[in-house]
Amino acid sequence: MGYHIAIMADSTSRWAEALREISGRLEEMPAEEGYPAYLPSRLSQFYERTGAYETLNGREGSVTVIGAVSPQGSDFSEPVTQNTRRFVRCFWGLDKSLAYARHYPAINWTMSYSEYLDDLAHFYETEVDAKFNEYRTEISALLKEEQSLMDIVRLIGSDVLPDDQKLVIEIARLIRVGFLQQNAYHAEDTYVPLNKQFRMMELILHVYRRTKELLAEHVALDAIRNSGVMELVIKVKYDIPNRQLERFDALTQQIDGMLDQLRTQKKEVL
Amino acid sequence: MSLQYFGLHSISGSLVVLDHVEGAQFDEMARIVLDDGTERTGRVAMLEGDKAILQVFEGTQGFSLTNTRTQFTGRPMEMPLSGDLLGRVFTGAGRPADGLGEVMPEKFGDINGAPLNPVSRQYPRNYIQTGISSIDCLMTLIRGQKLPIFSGTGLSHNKLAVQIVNQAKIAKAEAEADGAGSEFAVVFAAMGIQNDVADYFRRSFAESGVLQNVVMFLNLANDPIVERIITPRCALTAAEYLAYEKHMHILVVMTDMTAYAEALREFSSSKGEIPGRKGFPGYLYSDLASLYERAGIIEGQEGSVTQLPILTMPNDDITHPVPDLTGYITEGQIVLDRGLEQGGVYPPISVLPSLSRLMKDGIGEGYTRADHAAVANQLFASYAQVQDARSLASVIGEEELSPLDKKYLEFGRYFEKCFLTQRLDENRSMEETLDLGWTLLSLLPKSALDRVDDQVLNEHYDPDAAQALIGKTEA
Repeated sequence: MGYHIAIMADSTSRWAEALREISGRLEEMPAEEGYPAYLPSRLSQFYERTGAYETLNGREGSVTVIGAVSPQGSDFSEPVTQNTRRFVRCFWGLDKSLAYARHYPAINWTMSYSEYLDDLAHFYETEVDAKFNEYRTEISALLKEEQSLMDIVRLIGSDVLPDDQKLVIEIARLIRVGFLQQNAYHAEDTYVPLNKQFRMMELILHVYRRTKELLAEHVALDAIRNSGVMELVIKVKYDIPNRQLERFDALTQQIDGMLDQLRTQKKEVL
Repeated sequence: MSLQYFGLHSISGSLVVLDHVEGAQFDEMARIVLDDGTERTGRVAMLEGDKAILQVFEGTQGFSLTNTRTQFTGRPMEMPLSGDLLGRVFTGAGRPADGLGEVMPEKFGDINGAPLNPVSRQYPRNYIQTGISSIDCLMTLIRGQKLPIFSGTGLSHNKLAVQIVNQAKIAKAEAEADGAGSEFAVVFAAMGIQNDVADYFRRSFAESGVLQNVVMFLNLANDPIVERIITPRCALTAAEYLAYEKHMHILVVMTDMTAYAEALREFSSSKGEIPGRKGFPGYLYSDLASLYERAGIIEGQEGSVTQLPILTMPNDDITHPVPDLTGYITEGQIVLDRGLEQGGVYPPISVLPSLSRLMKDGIGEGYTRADHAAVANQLFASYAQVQDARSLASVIGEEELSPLDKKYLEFGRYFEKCFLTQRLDENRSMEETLDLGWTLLSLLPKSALDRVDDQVLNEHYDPDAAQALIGKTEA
């Protein structure tokens, strides 16, 4: 009928367990963890029914599957998870420790991926902004760097890091708390349109570039931390409503002003 | 009119059992006609007393124990072959899938391949240029070699495969010297890939205009698994024909071998065979070898068959049976790394565990360039030092490192940024790649380059070029 349909299947693990039970009753030869050897082909038969179609009267329709896999003990190496990942091209890995920290949505940003990025690049460029993809890559590189820095911090503390690396950790915190984490109970933050997402990324990266310049001019990292800029950025998701994106310009100016002040203070001390 | 068998003894999955069969041969093909007139193909998978077990390619939906008539053809599965295969798209079972009609066969080839006389095998020499720096310089693909790509779910191996197919070529001078006899073409076998991925391959090849030089065999994820088992065999038969009878240099790209092995497991389990490691059949090794060993060059023939199988390691586990057994048979491997991919590096080739065992015989003077071995060796050694410096930095912090270790970190950053990283449409020549390698090495002090002799080093060491490269990258 030309509808765009999303199917939420929760949970395919229970379905696979049913398959295992029937297979056991049929006395079939088990492969991994008692699942039958045809588990991958059954899974692919399910996931391959997705796609975009043209109907007989020329309308476009599509079927999208969002399948939830709930592996025992959050073990992503078990057969159902592994085989599902072979047939899907986008993977959102929910993370227990994020969930416990009430970081919602608890999507682990290093583990998750989408293979559709290249296909969607054009959409983002024309519909949102030409720089969307560039910012996205930059943000994920920052998160990746933070992760490897955190390995050091966990071992020997953050004191040994040079200031520019401490800044990376600070900016990654902005991304995590200000951008990735959303409040489902807040009227504005529960649904963030793409162009606001873009403005938020732009603001965070702007702050990163400005503060990096300040560090190069020997402004202390603590001064930047205490200036209140970081808090402003984190609050952006509540402070600027989804329909008043022009307020980002004023906010950027305000932040620039605060950072310029830090620089003049530094010069006065000298 | 030859003998027809009415009805079946039993049906189990894609297998059917026939009773009271006389004179059937192992591996021969059978035609199965249903009462409604539709026809399917089967292959003898097992013979036991007077029972014959057939695997049915199109699936056994609609079969009953009484509505079939089976006729044995007395021949193994054969593939129609002709020079017109190039530019065509086939299903996994070798039937046309592009609506252009049947192939006009010049001959039929047994899909299990002709046995190769080991004595007439020629040792692989000379290389195939992929235009990808990390592969060309550090793990050069040699003609007649089998070099698998070990990847994981969600990594960009499909993109890499497309780039290799688009860019792969043999050295120009030689193509001219050999005359029209030795052209280059690609046979592409896809096993168990998703619909949109198959579409991506088809579209990318069409866009870049290489499609008329590619033979594609597409077996999708929801196609019957029995078809998946013969897909690589059909592809290799086409490759062998083009190589040994049409004198072409053929690169066979096969993706994804893990899906193939899983199809083999499913098939084996439905035959009731005893499972081995992770449920895979005990003969997985010899079955994979029967495919991989079809790469090579035959004495007195101009063409060659080179294989580039791609496999996804479940859970990124390189000890999983499929990558493990593949690694025993093939001559090296290219390993993709999730960490690099997340860091925005494409192609995310993990340099240290990757290697090409035959590379030493196809590079250097007369093939690529005299200094190739030296620069490759030194890049490996220096990049290994980078890893040491990085792990040290993660313990004592980057500030505390010695000046040399800091240099290594810098080298590592630019190596990943300038050498590994490449755009999808960036085709680097061998010269460019090797020069780039030397430029990056010049970031390090001369004393740290201990794998090259001084004469070569003096010729290529150029710190100014290195600084210029940094300037260019940062701008």
